[in-house]
Amino acid sequence: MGPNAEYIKLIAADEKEFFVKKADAVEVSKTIRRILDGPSQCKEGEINQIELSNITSPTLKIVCDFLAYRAQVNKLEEGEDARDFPIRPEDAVDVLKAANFLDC
Amino acid sequence: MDVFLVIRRKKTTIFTDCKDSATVLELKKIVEGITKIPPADQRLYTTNSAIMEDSKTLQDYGFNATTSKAQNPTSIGLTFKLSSGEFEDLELCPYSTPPELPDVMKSQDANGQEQAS
Repeated sequence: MGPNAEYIKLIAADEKEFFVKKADAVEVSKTIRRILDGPSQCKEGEINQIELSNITSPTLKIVCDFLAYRAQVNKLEEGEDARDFPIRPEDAVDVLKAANFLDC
Repeated sequence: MDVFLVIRRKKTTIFTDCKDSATVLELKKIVEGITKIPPADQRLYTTNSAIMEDSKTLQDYGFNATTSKAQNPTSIGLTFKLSSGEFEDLELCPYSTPPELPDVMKSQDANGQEQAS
């Protein structure tokens, strides 16, 4: 059962599943864009599912929140205020590693 | 206004957004698109474990743009109807706990907040 083309499934290290809109993920994360839309046909592109066994579920939840937040900020009008995205210091290390891997 | 939601069931989390004037039924259709379970076999719960009715809108349950921002979406529970006709119990597997901070990080203040961009 693969999700339809609008949502993709991201699987964390502990097999928790996170569904996000494909448009948001592809727009914000260059790594996800390369995997799904790249010139070669990756298996992930066919089943719309990416396993991220190096990212734990609490970190992946923060990443998914950020994908939604960043996509919303991109749609804001000029001059409109974008509220900050809060990150706790204890999460910062894992979030940085994930952000580096996902290139966003 | 857009309302950002996180729909959770056991090991699954669905990040989505919709208008606060959208009905619960529209939300179930989004879930159907992802899980292939028809709206009739789904049940959505608010944070107080109250069952959400199809005809009500998200606004009726208090979800609006100020409470449901993208950086901090509201959680909604989801259960499916089993083959016996009964609905599952609402069960959310908690996320795993982060590892213990190394000693070098413990004595610092919260000044060094990094933001992923």
